[in-house]
Amino acid sequence: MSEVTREQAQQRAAQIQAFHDELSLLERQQVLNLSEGQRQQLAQHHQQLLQRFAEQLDIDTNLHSQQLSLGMRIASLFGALTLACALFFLFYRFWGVFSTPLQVAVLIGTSVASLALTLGISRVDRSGYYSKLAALLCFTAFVLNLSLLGQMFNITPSDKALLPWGALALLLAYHCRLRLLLVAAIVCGTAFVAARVGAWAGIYWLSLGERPENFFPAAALLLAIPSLLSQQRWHGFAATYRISGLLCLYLPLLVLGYWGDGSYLTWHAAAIEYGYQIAAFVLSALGVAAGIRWQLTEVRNTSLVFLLLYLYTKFFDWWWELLPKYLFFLLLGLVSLLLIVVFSRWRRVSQGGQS
Amino acid sequence: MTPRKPWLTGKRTLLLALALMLGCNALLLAGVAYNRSGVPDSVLTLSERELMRDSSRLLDEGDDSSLRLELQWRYPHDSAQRGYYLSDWLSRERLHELGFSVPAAHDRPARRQYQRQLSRTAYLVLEFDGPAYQALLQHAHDKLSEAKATLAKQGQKKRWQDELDAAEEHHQALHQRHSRLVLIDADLSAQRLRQRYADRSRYLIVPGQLAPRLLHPDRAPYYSAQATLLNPHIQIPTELHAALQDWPERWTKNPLPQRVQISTGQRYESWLSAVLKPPKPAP
Repeated sequence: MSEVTREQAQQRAAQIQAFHDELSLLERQQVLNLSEGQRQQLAQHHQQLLQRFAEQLDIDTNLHSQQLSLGMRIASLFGALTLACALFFLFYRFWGVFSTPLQVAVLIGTSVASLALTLGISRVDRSGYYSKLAALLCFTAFVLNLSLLGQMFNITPSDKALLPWGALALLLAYHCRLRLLLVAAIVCGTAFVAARVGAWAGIYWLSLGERPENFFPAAALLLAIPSLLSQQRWHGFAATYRISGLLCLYLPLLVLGYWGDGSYLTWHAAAIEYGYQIAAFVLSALGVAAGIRWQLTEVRNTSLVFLLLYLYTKFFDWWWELLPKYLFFLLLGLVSLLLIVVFSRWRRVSQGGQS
Repeated sequence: MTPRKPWLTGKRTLLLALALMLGCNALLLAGVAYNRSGVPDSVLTLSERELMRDSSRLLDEGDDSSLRLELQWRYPHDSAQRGYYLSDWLSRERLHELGFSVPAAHDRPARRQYQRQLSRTAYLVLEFDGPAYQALLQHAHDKLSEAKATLAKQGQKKRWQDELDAAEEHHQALHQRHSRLVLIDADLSAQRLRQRYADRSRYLIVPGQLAPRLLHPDRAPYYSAQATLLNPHIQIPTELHAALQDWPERWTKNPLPQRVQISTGQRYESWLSAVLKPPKPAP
């Protein structure tokens, strides 16, 4: 039997539940009637499947356990954040008590121990909540490891530390299937790429925000990753890469549309701003179209949010000073209604109805 | 068909992550060892005027038991401009050498063009108790004499008295409280700077960041650069905490007799190498 992930098993359980609900409805409407033998065979098959999933992958088999799982996820996230804070404050509180060699040993030892704990727990934890908590703690310990050593020995701050942090977050994210750590890895990697692009232009790495265009190469890389490397076995990872890539594209476009002086281009600031505003509209519209075309929900939704943001920002630019405030918001409301009409017509066309 | 085994197994993850952790720490510690190897680039003996206890820490003392010092320094010419402290310490030619494009004109488009440039990294030279500091003292002394002469000439008006008080306060502060470390030069190459400023007990070379700033919009010199040290903090090793427990965060009327020795290594990263107590007076 091919290896099934927990998310795939959970999806399958939801499909089975939906199938039973639809079958019951069809039988009540006398559209379809299964024979007793077929019904028993079906029930037995589904029961065995769900039982195996529950034993091996600890999935939720009913609504009650789904609600409890949501609570466990929230508690797991909260627990990870608070334990990470506890580790951070623990180090700072007792720092002055340890000698320098002991400080070095404690920092390295904590990183390695938390890694061993994470991998040890992940071998026995079927639900994944405890291993995810341990993975976040391990990442925090490693970040503290390098940053505190840098502080202790007065090392000049460097963007190179982002690389090992991102690499560890990526390893743990894929091992524990933890999207939060994937986001941490993406943040570290994006900052590193943007800092390197800036460094080639001669700027100090902490000033990478002075030129939002530094984020465009990272955006291209993030959007390409799901196409180049299959993320099928990791639920939600492809969507995370795409959303991150789109954020690295749309946010700088939004900033540069109103801050021409922040561009590498040497044109007049107004020309740069108009150029980037046009690019923002075009790219977000293309994003919506691509999301619909290739059925990428996250691409469609993210692009739509930014398209509307760009639109309302332009309205604010044109009309906020010009119109009385009630008229400004009335106009925004009317534009929103118009958008609903346009989208509903597109929806009817896509479903084969009359335009 | 036999399904493919995942590449990232638990064992591979452990080995890769372990190699990453241990490798990074080894690299970091090797860099520290290299920085502190050989002859230090500079060794300066500084007082609490040049090194104050870091007051910008995130956590209060109850939660943060570490101790850090922060280098205090000043520009060679005093100039308060637009809310930040700046000076014409770099010539036009030196700004060019550092990579800044300095326009010939000083109209609005030229000023915008200059300020749009990105900040750059460079090595900075801080001179300790040298000619630049003496020049500052002389300048303050001249200002004081000028204020006294104006008061004597114009009569006991509040305005002239206030100016004299300010000049006296500034003169006294420079003599007793303010740092004697003065920023005097910058270059992209630390080696070139060390060749120009060979005295390792007087000149401290540190990495810094220079941001293009407008000095005067309506008179020369128009353009300058604001300097920031990339690494102004120096951690006090635990072994020296007891000796520096009373080191102040700001100037006090009873300055401490101790001095600290700051060494700077091959990578221009500094460390606190010794705490020097004053010699006991002869009986």
